[in-house]
Amino acid sequence: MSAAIDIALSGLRSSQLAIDITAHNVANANVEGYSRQRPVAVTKLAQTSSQTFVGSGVDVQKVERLSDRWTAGHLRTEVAEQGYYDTLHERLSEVEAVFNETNTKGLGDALNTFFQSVAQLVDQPESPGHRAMVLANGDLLAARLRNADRQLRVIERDTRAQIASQVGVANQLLDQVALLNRQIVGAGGSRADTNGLQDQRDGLLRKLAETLGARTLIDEDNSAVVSVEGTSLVLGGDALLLSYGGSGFTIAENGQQIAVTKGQLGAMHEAVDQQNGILGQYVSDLDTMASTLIDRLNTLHSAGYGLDGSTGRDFFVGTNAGDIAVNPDLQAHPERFAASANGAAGNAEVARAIAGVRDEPLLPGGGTIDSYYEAVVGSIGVETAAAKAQSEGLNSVVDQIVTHSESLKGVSLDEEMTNLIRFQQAYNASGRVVQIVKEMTDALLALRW
Amino acid sequence: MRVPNSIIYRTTLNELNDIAEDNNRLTLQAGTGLRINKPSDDPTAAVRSLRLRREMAQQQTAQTSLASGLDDLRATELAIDDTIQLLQRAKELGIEVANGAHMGAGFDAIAEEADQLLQAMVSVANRQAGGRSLFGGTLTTTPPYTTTGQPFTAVTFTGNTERRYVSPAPGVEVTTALPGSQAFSDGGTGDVFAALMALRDAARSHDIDALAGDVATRLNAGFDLMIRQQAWVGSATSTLERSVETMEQTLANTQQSLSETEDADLTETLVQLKVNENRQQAALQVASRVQQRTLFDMMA
Repeated sequence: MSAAIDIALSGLRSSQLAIDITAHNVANANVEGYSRQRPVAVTKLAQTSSQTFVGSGVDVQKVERLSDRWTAGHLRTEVAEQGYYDTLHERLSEVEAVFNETNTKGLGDALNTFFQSVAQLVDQPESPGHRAMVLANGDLLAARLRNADRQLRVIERDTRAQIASQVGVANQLLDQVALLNRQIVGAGGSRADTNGLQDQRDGLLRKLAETLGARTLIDEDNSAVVSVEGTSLVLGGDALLLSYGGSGFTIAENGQQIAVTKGQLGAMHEAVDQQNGILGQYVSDLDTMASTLIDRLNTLHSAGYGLDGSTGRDFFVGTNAGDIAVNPDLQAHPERFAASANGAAGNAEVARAIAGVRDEPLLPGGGTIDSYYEAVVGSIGVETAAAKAQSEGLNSVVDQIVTHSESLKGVSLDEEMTNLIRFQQAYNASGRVVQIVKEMTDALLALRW
Repeated sequence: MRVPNSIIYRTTLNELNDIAEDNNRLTLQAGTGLRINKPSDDPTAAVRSLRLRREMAQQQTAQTSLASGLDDLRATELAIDDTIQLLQRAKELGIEVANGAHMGAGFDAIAEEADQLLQAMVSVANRQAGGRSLFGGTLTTTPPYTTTGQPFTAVTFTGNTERRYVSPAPGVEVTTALPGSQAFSDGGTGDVFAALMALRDAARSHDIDALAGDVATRLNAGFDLMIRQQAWVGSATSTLERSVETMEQTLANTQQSLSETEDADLTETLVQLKVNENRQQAALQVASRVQQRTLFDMMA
């Protein structure tokens, strides 16, 4: 009879625990990254009592966390790609805005107006008004080139600042993962709750994948090993921190180079890399255009004659997209613009040649200024569109995995309510057993001999 | 599959986000009237639109250039017509004296008129069009003919020998203004100024032989030269006029292509916006229904 009361007590305890767990699940239903928990109850072994064996009730061995390592790993892999392409798309969109021609007035428009005004000067080479137009539009063209160059450099500078702050974030994450490793492994043997810690660590690992493209393996002893391109950054309770120089990432402690090619940092580095960085490439494209214009126009212009007979003057000053400007001497004296090849006011051969620069194959590969610029715009368009498509594709892949993982670990309120009813019924039944044992004991005690 | 509440929330949110993003794109399209608002919307079309805009700019420039060339040609034509009339009159005078209709004082009157014709001719040759000397070659800011003495003993061409031209198409050059040295002289007997001067001088010296011979030859040669120039101006004008027509057509075509390349189909955009509005309402309604009932509500 004393066995029955013990058994009923174990039932009461286990049901109570189960109700506690249910309450915990319901409370955490909307917590990001929470994995639902459930009691793992086992039958207590029989204790010998005379000749028969009767089980001794129920014991909740542990509180199980429903999570799937493989799905979590898969999610991290895809999130690393997603972080990369999202960030790449973001950066490229900013670059794209610099080269947007369709609904803003950009470089293409400035090229059009400049060459248009030169062509009009060909019809009226003596006209001071037409000269002023040429110089004003030349100034506009130079300003648009400088502005595009400046915008690209601002994006580059901001991206570098962002890398610095993201490296800080990643280092914090690495530290925290190492700390959680220590806590989880340390508590591993006992029945202490590591479920919450593991949820927390999963969240951090996902963020690490997103920022750094880090890969993670969970060890036998439940410790997370975080690595980037084969170099372990978190091993057990220790973390190696990163630092960023202009040419790439290194491990702060030993200076070892480490290639980060995925995650947000991978994309940002690709944007600003000193060799073949995306932004550097576009800056150099602009420089090529600017220096070609400067060289060719100066060669033609300095051979011509202004209305005042002046000759040998450059049209542009500067050497690249960053410092191109119309010769200030010409702006002060528009009559010095050299339209004439021989000094005759009505001769427009130099202006005609300048207007024809657009059609000259001046650029590498025999391209004209315009075809070169078209290629630049086309390439930024294609790159941005590709990054966007990748990022959108990955979004739906990540969504799919999250849905899959949520279907295992997410809290379903209906399910919890069903469990609540189930555990309440069990609790009530065990209570009833106690009641009956009490009545039996009462009956025994009431016996009179 | 277990469908925990979080999945339903996520699905609803994703759907609403998709609709919002699409609406954003469509609103931009409707607002700008453009299908392509950045190169990545359609890189090929973006490059094409860039090229078409450039072509349009070049075609518009070519149009102004052709128009200015036509202005020069019309002014030239007028000057040549006037020259032909002057020569016509000079020829009449020459014939009158040669026929002996005038004697004595008559010669002087003819010499006087011939001198006036010469002066008129100088002013025709020094004409300006659009603020530029028409016959100075590319020396356009000074009068191309200077005279010596009064009456003129010499009319000297001070312009240069460069012609002015426009290019209606790459590699094609149409002369729009000739230097006076080519317009009014063929380098031989055909020289308008020399002919008029010869007429005046012969009339003044009562040299009937010269009037009937050399002067008549010179006047005829000058006249023929001007007829040839008239033919040149006519053909150059019609070439440019044809080019203007072609250019107008080309420009219209380019504009059409540009519009096809980058313009949004407004009807389609608006219909799509309406479709999205319905989608959004449906998503919101479904979300509110689904989230309404849980087992909580049943447990009283």
